[in-house]
Amino acid sequence: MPHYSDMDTPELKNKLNRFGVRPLPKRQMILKLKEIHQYTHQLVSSDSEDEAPPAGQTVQMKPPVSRPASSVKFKEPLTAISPVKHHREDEAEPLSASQGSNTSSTAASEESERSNPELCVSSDGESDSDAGISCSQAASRLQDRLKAVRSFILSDSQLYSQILQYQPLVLSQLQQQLKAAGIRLGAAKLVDYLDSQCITFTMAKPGHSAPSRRQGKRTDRGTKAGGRGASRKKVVAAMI
Amino acid sequence: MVVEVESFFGVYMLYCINPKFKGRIYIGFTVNPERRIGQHNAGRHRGGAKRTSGRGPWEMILILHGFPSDIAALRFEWAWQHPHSSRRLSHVSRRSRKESSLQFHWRVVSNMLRVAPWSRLPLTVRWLKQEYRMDFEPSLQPPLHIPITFGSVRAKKKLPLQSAGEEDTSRCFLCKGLVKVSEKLSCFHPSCGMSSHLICIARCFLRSEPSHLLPVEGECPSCHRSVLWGSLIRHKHGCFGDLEEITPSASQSHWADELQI
Repeated sequence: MPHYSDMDTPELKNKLNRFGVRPLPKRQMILKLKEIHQYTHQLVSSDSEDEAPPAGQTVQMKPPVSRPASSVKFKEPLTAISPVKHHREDEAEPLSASQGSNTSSTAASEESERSNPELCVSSDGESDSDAGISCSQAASRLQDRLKAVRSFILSDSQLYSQILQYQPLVLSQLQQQLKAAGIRLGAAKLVDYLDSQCITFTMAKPGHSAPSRRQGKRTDRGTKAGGRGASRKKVVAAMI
Repeated sequence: MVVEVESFFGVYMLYCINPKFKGRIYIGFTVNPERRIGQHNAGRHRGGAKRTSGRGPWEMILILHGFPSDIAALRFEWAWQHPHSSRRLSHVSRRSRKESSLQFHWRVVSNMLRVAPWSRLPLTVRWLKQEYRMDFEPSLQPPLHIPITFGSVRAKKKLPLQSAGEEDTSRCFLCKGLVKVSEKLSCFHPSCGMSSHLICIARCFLRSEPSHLLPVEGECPSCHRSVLWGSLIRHKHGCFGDLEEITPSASQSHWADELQI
């Protein structure tokens, strides 16, 4: 818990402002901030829907600012604003991944492809002790698969040599090889991993390779420039 | 003095000096910068891009080269042209009112060099026109292995690798096993000439970065000079121009060192 009692008034005002609460007398600001901190850093799952507190830093709470100071309560369900969409089969509450660690996980909740590993990881420390939490399970499953991909690459000297010489990998071929080795990793996560390792890859079919830059004669330039541009765009756009 | 580079893949920035379109920027890819700028200024019927045709004259002020393949360079070009569509640049904000196009594009490329998948590539930032030179923001410094340099560059044809000695097998300096030519990597310092397995040296270089697969730089196990992984690979592929040797203290040359009086 930050030392709200030691902060000066402008600092407290700023902190409250982040939660949409108007400036209050100093003593009350300190109490309010402590209250907010308690709610946002709860380790025990809360049953009340009204006061379900999301964990993590991506929370934005919106209590009406004009309420009298003494009776401000967080009545609205608190939704975490995150750039991530979730595909959960039970949509009882608009919860984020980190919230999932506080409520009991359902068997139906899928491992979302879009789940933000950063959100999941931030709640890992708190949720490890809870059994069957889908979010941290998903994250560690992903880590295992990434480790498997890494080991696969290191074990295949031809593949690793290719990477070390900066030769682009044909993504479809790599996917096939991983599948054959029993490593299940979706294309999106694989691409993220390759990017994080600065490994160049191409979506092109093995035969075509990269669009050829032909050093043609001047007379051809007009049409060629058009053709070149189109094929370049296709290759690059596919790599978004 | 013009630096000559084989196997050239570059992404460049053009600046328009026509008073009617002053300050306009164009980003492009080329394997031959000298030829490319001529094409741009000659118009689209002579190979220049439609967007720059008739809007000149253009100056090629900045070029990033050292991309190991055309695919790597093309992807970089696309991301620089479309930072707000690129997955890796979602943190780069849109151009503010007070930002010129040039400043904006410089900010985008500064961010790109710090982020995967480009942060480990053996790139060189080269200002072709010193008068446009800009410094990196303190918070957007590029990775230490990326040199910032000045002056012209020319694409050079790669000489066919000599096939003499193809059958020779040597011993790996590190693991002492036999090394085939295809898996051999040698130190390019003439006095050294150490040879090893590609993978053995990679493993050695990656000791300080165990989570990575692609090395960036390291010390030659024999002569202990610091070398860039990219330079070792270029040397292996027959590119002898523009091989970067780095000394830890001088890996970032100050722009003032390169000014010509």
